[in-house]
Amino acid sequence: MKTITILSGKGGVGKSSITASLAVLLAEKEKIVAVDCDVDAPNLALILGVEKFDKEKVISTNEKAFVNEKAKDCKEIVNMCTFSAISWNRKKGLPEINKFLCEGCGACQLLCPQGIELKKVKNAVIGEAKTDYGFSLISGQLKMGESGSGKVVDAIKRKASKFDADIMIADSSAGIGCPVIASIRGSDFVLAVTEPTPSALSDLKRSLQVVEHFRVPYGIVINKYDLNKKFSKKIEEFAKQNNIPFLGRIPYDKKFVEALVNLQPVIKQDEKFKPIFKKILNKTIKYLGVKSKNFEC
Amino acid sequence: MKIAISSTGKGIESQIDARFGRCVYFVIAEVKDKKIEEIKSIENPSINVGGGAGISAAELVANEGVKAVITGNVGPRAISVFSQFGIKVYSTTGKVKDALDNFVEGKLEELNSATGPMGSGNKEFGRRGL
Amino acid sequence: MKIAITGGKGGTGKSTVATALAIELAKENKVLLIDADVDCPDDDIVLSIDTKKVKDVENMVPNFDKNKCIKCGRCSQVCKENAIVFVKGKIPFLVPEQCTGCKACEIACPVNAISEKKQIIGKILSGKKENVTLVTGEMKPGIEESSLIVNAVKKYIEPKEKNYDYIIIDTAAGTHCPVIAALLDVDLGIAVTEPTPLGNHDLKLILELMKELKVKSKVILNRSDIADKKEVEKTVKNFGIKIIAEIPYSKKIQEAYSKGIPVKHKAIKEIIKEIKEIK
Repeated sequence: MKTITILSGKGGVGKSSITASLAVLLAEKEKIVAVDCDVDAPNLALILGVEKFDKEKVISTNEKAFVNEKAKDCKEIVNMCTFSAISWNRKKGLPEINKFLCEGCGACQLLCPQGIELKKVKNAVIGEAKTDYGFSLISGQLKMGESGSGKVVDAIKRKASKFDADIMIADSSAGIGCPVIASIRGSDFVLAVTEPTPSALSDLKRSLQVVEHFRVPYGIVINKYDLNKKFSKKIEEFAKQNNIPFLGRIPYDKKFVEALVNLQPVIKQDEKFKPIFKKILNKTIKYLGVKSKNFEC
Repeated sequence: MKIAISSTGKGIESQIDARFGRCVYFVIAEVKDKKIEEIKSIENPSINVGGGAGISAAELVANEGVKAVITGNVGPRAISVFSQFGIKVYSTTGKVKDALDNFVEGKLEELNSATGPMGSGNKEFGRRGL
Repeated sequence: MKIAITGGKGGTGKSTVATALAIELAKENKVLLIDADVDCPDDDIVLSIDTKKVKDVENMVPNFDKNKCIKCGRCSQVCKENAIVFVKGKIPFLVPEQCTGCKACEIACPVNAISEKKQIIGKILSGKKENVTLVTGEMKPGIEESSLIVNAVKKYIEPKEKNYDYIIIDTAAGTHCPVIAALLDVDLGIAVTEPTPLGNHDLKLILELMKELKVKSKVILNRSDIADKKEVEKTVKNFGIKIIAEIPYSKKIQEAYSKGIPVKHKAIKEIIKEIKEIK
C-alpha cells in the first residue's frame, strides 16, 4: 500500500476539502482507504458525508501518573518534572499531578515507586465507516484534554494499513508538531497545500523542512490562487527554484463553502472542478510511483 | 557477515517489505565467501508499537549483529541508528532471494543520504520571503 | 488580564483577531502579544514586525559516560519515547529528536553514568510595533513536543507580566498539548470560528476543552456571512456563553492580511468593550 499525505502547516487553507475531492476521484479507479490524521479536530468524516461510524473503538496509547498516600515523602518529584505537571498540595501533604500536563514519561514513578503509579488512560476513539463513495474512512478523536496525539495517529494509520486497498490517502492536521510528524512518517508522497498569503508560505516552508527531514518526496498545490495571483506566481517560482514539483492551482470559489455546508466534496457540488483535481491527481500518482490509469482531464 | 532483509514473509522466496520499521518479518542471512550459509527469520515486534518503530526495528537488527540491511524505505531515525553501529543500508525491491544474490554480487547500491532533488533530507528553506 | 485567542479549527482568523486586538488595545494600554502557535508562528508576518531572537529554548538530553556505563540497558527500557537505542555490549545511543528530556533514564541509571546535555529545540523572538510588544515562540522543525516551547515562552514572560495591562496569547489550531499549555491559567479564552459545519464542529471541541480546563470562554464569529450561522448560535447557546462580535467576510480584510497590514474593523472595538466589562 502506498500512502499520500495532505499537509499544509497553516490551518484552514483547504486540506480536508482537497483530500475529500482527491479521495473520491481516486476511488473511481483505485482501491483506496481514507484516513483523517487530524485527531484534535477531525473534519474529513463531515465532508465525506459520514454521519455515524460503523465501528468505534476506544484506544489507549498513553499512560499518566497517579499519586497515592505513600507519596507523602516524595517532595523532590515536584521540581524534577520536565512538563511542570507536579505541584505540592500543602493541605493534603502530597504531590499533585496536573493531568493535562502529565505526559506519562514515568520519571516521577522511578523516583518515588511506592507513591506513584502509572496507569493506562483511554485517550482516543477510533472510528471506521464506509463512505457513500465506496471506500472506507478511518478517523480518530483525541479525548478532551488528553495527550499523545502522535501515537493516536500511528494507531489510525496502522489500522488503515490492514485494509484491502492499494492507496492510503491521509489528511494531516495543522502545524509541525507530533501529530503532523506521525502523519508524515512512513508516507510515500506528501501533497503540500498552501494559499497565496505570506503566513501560509512561511508555514509551508516550515512543514516542508520536516518532510525533508523524513526524506519523503513532495509537491505543492496552491489553493485560492486567484486571491493574489502575483503572490501565487512567486510561490510557483519558489517551487521551481527548489526543484519542487508544482502539482496545480485551485481557484477561490464560493462553491467550496457551499460544498462544506452541504457536507460533500466540492467535485460533487460542481463537476467543473473535476478537471482541476484530475490534473493534480495525475501528477501526484506519477510521483507516487504506482502503475495507474490516467485520469483524463 | 550477517544481513537483515525486511520481508513480507518468512523465507527467501518472499517479497521485500518496503517498510523497514513496520515490516512483517526480518530475514537474516549469514553470507560467507559470496555464499548464503544460513537463513533464519524473526517476526518484527515493532510492527505494532506506537511511535519510533524504525528505531526499535533498527535496535533489533543491530542486536542480531548484522552488518548490512536491505529494505525499501528507511526513516532518518533508523538511519542514525545504523550509522552509529556501522551498519550499511541498501534499498531495492523484489524477491528477498534476488536481493541477496545481487548483494553478494555487489550489485546493490548503498542508500546515500544525499540523493534526489527533494525529499533527500538536506534542503533548507528559511522562513520569510521568497 | 490574560486573554487567549483560540478556535479549534485552523484558518478561522485567530492571528487576524489577536493582532488587531493587540494594536487597538495598545492605543490606551500596555499590551503584550504572545504568539504561542510555536509550530507555525505568523503574528510577526501579519504585523510586519522584524523580530529578533532573545533566547534559545533548550531541553536536557542524556549524555552517557563511557567509563561509568555498565551497558545494562536499563535506560533504554525506561524510555517511553523509544529514544535510547541499546545493543548488547555497547554504550547506549540517543536519537535526540525523539527525546523529550524527561530524565527518566538519568534517574533509572544504577551507576550514575548519565549526565545532562543541552539540546536546542526552539527559540523565543521579540519585536515591537505601535506600542505592542510581540513575543514569539518558534519550534525547531523536526521536534515533536510543541508544548515545551509554549511552556518556555510562558516562563520567559512571567517576570514581565506585571508591566502589562493586557496579555494576548494567540494559540495554535487544534486541542492538543500546545493549545492546552497556552490555555492554562488565562482569564479568558476567545474562540474564533466561522459558520461552516467544520467551524461549528471544531468550536464544540475547543469550548469543551476550555470547560474542562475551567477557562471562561467567549466566541467571535468570523466571515459571519459566508453561511448560515444558526448552528454556531445553537452551539454557543448550549454552552451558555455568547458571541461577542461578528466580522463579515470582506475582500479588504483578506487583502490586508496578505499584505501584512493589521485589520481595522468596528467589531474589534466591540470585543474590547466586552473584555473591559469582564476585567
